[in-house]
Amino acid sequence: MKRAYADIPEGQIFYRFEGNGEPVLLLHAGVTSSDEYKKVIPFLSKTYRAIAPDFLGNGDSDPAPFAYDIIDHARTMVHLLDSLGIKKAAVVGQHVGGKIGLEMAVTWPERVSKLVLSSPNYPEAEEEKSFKDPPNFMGRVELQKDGSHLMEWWRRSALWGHPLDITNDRTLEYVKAGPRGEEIHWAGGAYDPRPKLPLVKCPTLVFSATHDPFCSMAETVHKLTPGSKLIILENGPIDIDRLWPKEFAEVVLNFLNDPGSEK
Amino acid sequence: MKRAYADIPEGQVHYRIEGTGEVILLLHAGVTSSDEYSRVIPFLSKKYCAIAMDYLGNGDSDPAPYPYKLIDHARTVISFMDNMSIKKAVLVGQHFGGKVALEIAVTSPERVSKLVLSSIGYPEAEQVDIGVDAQHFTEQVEIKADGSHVMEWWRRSAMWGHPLNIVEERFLEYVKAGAHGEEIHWAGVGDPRPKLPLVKCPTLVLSASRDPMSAAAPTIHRLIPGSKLNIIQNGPIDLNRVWPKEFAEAVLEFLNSTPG
Repeated sequence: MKRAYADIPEGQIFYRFEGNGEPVLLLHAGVTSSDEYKKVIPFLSKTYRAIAPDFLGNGDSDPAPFAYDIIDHARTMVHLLDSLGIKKAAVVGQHVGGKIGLEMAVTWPERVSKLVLSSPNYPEAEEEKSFKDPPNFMGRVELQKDGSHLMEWWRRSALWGHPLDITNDRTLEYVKAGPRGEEIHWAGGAYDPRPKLPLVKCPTLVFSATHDPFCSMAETVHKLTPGSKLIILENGPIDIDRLWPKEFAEVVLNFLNDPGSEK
Repeated sequence: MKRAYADIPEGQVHYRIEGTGEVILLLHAGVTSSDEYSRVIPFLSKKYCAIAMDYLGNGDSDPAPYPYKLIDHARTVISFMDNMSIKKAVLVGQHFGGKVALEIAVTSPERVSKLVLSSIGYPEAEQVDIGVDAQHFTEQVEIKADGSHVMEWWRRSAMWGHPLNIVEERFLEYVKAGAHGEEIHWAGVGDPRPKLPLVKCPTLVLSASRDPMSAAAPTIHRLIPGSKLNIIQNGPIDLNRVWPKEFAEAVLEFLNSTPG
C-alpha cells in the first residue's frame, strides 16, 4: 500500500492506494482518517483499485478552509476523482463517510457506479441514548497548557472498548484533526439523509453490524433507498472496518462483484 | 508549500517542497519531523528549491524496518536524493539532523555543496545540566491502557517552554513516531568530532545562545577547517521553529557570502 497527495483546488488531499482495476473510493468516518481502512485495503486490492483519502481537516490532508458541510466534503471527493483521472468509482462510506458518499451519488450521479452505506444514520433524539457518554462526545476540545485535552481525546478514543493499538490510532487522528476536528461530526449531525435516499439511482448496499449504535437505523435507510440490499452482520462491532476488516471486505466484495440489477 | 511522497528502496518518504532553483535539503531533529521547517521554507523558497523530508520512523514517513543507526538514516537521505534526481544539495541539519548531514558530507562529499550544522552536540556537551527535567528525556515510552503515555509525550513537548501551538506540533510528532520514536535519539549519541576535520565543503556552524548545545558550537567550528560560526544572541532551542525568520536569514546570508 502506498501513500500520496493529490492536488485539488481546495488544497492537498492525502490518500492511500493499492491495486488495479475498477476504482473503489473508501470514505472514512468523522475525526478518523484513511487509516481505518488500512487492514481492509489488502483484501480489496487483489481485484480492485482501492483508494482511501483523508477528508480536508482530518488525517494528513490540508485543513478545510472553513467549517465544511457534507456537500463541501462531497465536492472535494469529486475533485479528487478529477485529479486522479477517474470518471466513475464505486464509493464505500462508513458513518459520516456514508453521508458524503450519498451526497456524491445524488449530486454527481455520473461519478458513482455503486454505493455502500456502512452503518448510516439520521438525526434522531433516540439515537443519542445508544452512546455511552453522549453529552461530551462531540464537543469542541480546546488546547490546554497542562495537556489535559489529550486525556479527553484519549477518553473519546477509548470509549468503544477497542484493543489498545486501535485506541492509540484513534487518538492520533484526534490530535491530527486538532481543536477543529469535531466540525465534521457537526456537519454529519446536521445532515438528514432520508430525503435524499429515494433519489439514489445506482446499486446500493446498506450495511451495518449489530453492535454499532446506528444498527437500528439501517432498515429505514434500506427501505428509503430504491432497490437497495441490506446486510447486518450478527455480533459485528462499531468501527467494523477497523476491527473486522476481513468480514467488512467480504461483504463489500460480494456486493461489488454482484450488485444486482444495474439500472 | 506542497507535501508529497517519494519511493525509496526502504519505503515511502514524506516531504514538503516549495520553490525552484538550487536545492536546500532540510534535515530535522530527533522525534520531530519536516514540520519543524514549515515556517522556514517560505523564506528560503524565494530563491531556492527548499525540501524538508521526514526520516523513516518519524513524521509521516514509513516506519524504519529495524532500529536505524545514524548511517542508516544518512543512506535513506541519499536514496531520497536519488529518487528526486538531486545530484548535489545544500544540506541543513538541526540537532540530530546536523549529525546526519555531517555523515553525508563525509561519506558522500560529491552530494553536498554546502553544509549548515545547527546546534549539533557531542557526548560531553550533551550530558551537561540543561536546566530542565532531562533525566527521562529520551527513554522509550510504552503505550498504556489508561492513556498516561500521552501525558509523558506532552511533558517532553512542553519542557522547553515553547508557545502552546509549538508544544502541540511537537506532541503530534511524538504520537506519530509512537513507541519506537526514541530510537532516533539513541541513534544520535555518537561522537561527531573525529569526522569534523574531514569536511571539505563550505560549512556554517549555527547555534542559538539559549540552546544547550550552543556551548558545543565553538568546538565544532574549530574542528571544521574554514568553517563559519554564527551564534544567534538570545535565540531559543528549536530555533527553526521558534525563530524561523532569523534561522532562514542566517542560512541565506551564509549561502550568499560563500562562493559555490
